[in-house]
Amino acid sequence: MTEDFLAVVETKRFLGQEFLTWLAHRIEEGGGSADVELHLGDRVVLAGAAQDERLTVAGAGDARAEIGAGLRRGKLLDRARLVIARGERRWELSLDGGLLVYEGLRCPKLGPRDAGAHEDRRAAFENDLFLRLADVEEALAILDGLFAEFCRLRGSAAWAARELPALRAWVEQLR
Amino acid sequence: MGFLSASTTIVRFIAPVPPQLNREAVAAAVTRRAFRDVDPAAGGAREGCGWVGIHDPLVTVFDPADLFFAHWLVVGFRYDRLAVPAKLLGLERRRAEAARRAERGVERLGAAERKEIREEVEARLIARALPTPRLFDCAWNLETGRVYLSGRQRAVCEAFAELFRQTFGVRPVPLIPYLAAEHVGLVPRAVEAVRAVEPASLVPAGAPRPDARVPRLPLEEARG
Repeated sequence: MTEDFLAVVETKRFLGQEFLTWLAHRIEEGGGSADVELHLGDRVVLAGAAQDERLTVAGAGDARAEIGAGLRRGKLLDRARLVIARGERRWELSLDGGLLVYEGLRCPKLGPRDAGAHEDRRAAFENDLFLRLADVEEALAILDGLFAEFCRLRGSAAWAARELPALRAWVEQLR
Repeated sequence: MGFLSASTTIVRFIAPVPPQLNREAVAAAVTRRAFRDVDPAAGGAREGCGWVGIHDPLVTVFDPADLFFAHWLVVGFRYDRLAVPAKLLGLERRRAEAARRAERGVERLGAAERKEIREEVEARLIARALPTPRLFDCAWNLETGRVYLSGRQRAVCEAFAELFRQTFGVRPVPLIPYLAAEHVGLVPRAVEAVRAVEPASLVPAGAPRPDARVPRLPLEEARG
């Protein structure tokens, strides 16, 4: 990685953190879209401007007050465990918002193999891999759609007029 | 930790797919960059990486059927590292320093001499160390140019990106948020707008802020 690239990674890390924070707010306000449900999982990491300034909120129970305390100290969500559900299909992952890295991704159980794949181990492996990659792309496409929505808002006048006040009000009420 | 594991970590890159992809030539290029064992005696290398079969990590000779699958190019990436346990290095260094002090009849060694001893001990132990192999899966979607790697460690990602460039002639770029904005269906003006934004504060301007000089009881604070 070049120095320039690493500089962009560091100076623009906030963009992904703001996305993840916006996403948590959106989840609190009612979740995903018509056919997708989103839930915040049991582990959230907030980070301040300095990367060594981190707050981990983990475990069962209502963590909103702790998340709110972190946000009011000027931190943003840096990582969060997310659950995505589409019909009966369910994905779990830890989204590293700062870098858009998908950790601990658990996909839905693999579907049935093609006829003939049962006898041939290699064909079975390729069948499973193809299905798994489709599952991975489906989950990432859902998150990409949300990221696109965030980007459209973030770069528009609606951010300052509507989204930011709503986020601030949410942060205030997380107690 | 591959794509078929119960749980996997994925780093996503973007790498434009060449308009003409000669599958035979690609298989030959992957074979040229296949994994070879790390030999610390030859040049003192401590890391080694290369392509391996995604079906079988011992496969290092490829034909197109090993790599191309529907609209995917899939291949395994092996990254081996020779490392000396820190505790062993510390003990052996102390032993070597004691021997040197006795040999020279002095009570203390200079910083330069201690550094030299450390390097000698490390080189001797590295020559006897066994590599720690790590296996990752790589999948390149030849329709979208998205590349998925099942690992996130920085050294691994850098070695992977360089090997990918050497093999396929195109450098994969990690899709960090700033760059991802260009690949999620936004119009160019929206991409430019979001790239230009400055960090927002979620704390209203008039709200009291905690005094950073006052120690606080952490709720569950993790540093680093």
